[in-house]
Amino acid sequence: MSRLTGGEVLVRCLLKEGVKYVFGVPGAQLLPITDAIFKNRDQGIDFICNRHEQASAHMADAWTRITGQSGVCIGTVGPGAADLVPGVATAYVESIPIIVLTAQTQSWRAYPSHGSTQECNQLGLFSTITKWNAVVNSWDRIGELVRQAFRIALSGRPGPVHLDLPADVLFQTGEIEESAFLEPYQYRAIEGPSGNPASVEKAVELLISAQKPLIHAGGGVLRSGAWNEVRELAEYLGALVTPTVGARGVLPDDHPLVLKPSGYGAIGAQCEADVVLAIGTRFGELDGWGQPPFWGEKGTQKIVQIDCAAEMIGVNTPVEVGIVGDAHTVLRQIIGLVKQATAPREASQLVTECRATQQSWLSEFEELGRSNAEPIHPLRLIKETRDFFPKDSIICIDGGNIAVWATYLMHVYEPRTFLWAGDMGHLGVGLPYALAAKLACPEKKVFVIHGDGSFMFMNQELETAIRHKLQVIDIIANDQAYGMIKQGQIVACEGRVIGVDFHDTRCDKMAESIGCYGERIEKPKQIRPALQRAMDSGLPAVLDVLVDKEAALNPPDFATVVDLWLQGCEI
Amino acid sequence: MARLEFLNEQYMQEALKRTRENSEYQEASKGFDDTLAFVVEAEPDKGVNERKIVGTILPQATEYWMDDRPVTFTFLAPYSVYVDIMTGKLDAVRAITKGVLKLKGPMPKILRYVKGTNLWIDTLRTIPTEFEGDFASRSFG
Repeated sequence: MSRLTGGEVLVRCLLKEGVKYVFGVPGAQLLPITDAIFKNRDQGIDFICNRHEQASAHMADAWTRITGQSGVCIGTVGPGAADLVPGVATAYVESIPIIVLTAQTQSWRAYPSHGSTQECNQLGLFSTITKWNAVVNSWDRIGELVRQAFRIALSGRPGPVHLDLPADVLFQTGEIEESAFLEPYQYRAIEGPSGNPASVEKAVELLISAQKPLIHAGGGVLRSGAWNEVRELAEYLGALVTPTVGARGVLPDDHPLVLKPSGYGAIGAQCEADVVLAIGTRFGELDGWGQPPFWGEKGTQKIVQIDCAAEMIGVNTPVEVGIVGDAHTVLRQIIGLVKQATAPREASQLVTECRATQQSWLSEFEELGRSNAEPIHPLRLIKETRDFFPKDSIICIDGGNIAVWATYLMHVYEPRTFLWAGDMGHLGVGLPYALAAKLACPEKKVFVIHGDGSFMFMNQELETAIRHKLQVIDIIANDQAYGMIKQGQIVACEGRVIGVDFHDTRCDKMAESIGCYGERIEKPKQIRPALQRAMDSGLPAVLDVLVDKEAALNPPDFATVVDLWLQGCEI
Repeated sequence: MARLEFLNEQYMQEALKRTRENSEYQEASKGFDDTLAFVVEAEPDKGVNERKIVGTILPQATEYWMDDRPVTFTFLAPYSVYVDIMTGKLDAVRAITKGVLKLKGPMPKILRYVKGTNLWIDTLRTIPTEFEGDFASRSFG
């Protein structure tokens, strides 16, 4: 029996979940939590202090994506909690199961509000951007509600959950048995559910009858750790694989069966495939909603959808077979039956055709990637950067147009090495994502491709990088504009632009002032040596690369993206 | 050169001639070797009363036809969409991805020849062109 504060009970519960870091900004009402972390550092938990809570939520998000374990972020009452919102909203849209903890004013002053300083209806604030949230209104319920938080975050369609912790509950002490701290397997499912056997059989029948099978792999594959199963099934059936933008790296980009998301090869394959096995994806907007012209005609193309959440089955496009289950578990079921039913198959003619189409699509970009033009073409920057870093490096993407440019030549080779909030499109994620990635994988090189607009959203986190000795390399494609919005204004408003151009900011000097390595680059040949110098510095680094402003405005698929975003609007 | 009525016999003869003579297009479309038809839906409310079909083989451009024959690729859209494409208001591939220009045929192949497709449209845009009905004001050349 031990006598513990509420904060200590909470931290002991987090330790049972294997939480290594809590990301946040400290505060008076959080004191019992941060002090409990301090006292338990020898147990393997630590506190990472950010310079803004938004970064804390983004770090928890990235930690989750890379490790598969829920990241935890905290904010103090009022402003601290409010500052977490952008990061939590991003995790919610992207289905990332982070744990959000906020301190609240004393329980007798909140819900309803007594008007205390900083007091805020945090339960309401987070209710629309979390799967579930609750006020921990008693010391006795801390363990139960923390367990509930993890249970809900990780079950079904994953997503953030939020606990609001009144200060008096956190400061209160009480006696607790060691046995009250349960192991995760005692209170939540450790393995995902298998699929209904009859549905799995139907899916297998369709797959083995297919002449042109295609596997469309979404974020659920990465979440479930099912990339080896995707590879095994694809290679056995000779099926093409089109990862979603969120699932890049599920198989290496240079695997002969893989086609880059949204590329012409992928679109061609998606239109021609007779049977599509969609795993862990809802066919979102960047997937053209699973509808023509980005996919085959209904009635001709049959879709089998596997998703851990029943509410995602057929949500955007009708399916032939819907299987509710964990990607890894269901794929193992499918592979077993497929191997019983048929011998390994040669890749279809569609593979050859679509790879040729992809190569044709990429060839122009590869040429631009070799461009010696000054100012620097964005694709030259992307190619030099990708070629410089090892294949297993972790890539973080943060921006508008530069994110589109990166699609073409920023090749991804390993699962969970590509971080981009593509569904939310939130600017500022890059640096916090990179910092969490470096914490999770200190042995790997980590870099960020930013626009100058996105870099300025979270650049204060360079100080966090220095303080924690996290070497991440920030590469800024600086066109001194919100390029994507500027181009949209030019196209839609007959050339009129407003609020999109910036003063020339020396991001490299800003980094130097914090203690990082900084360098400005203006010529293509300077890129590679500068990357080397940045790595050799041993410091977090910012390479401020002036890119061709005109070229940067016009990524080739910008118009298609805009068409999807503004579908149905009269422009 | 006087303007030619979009997709009439004279227009098609001129289009094929210019297609054959465009070496850059011929290079970009090497290996395509396939038949296409363009179905132009009438828009009576805009003064376009007849549905048209024209077909050809590209990049050879040796013949054209104006009847319904089996082809590998069929493009289908209202007259106005073709006007938008010919006047440069709408990119042809974008018209497909927006779904306003319907395509029947093997998508991977047509997407492999996007550069050639764009060069072909550019070639057609060099022909002084007269549009019908309400679109007459958008004639060019």
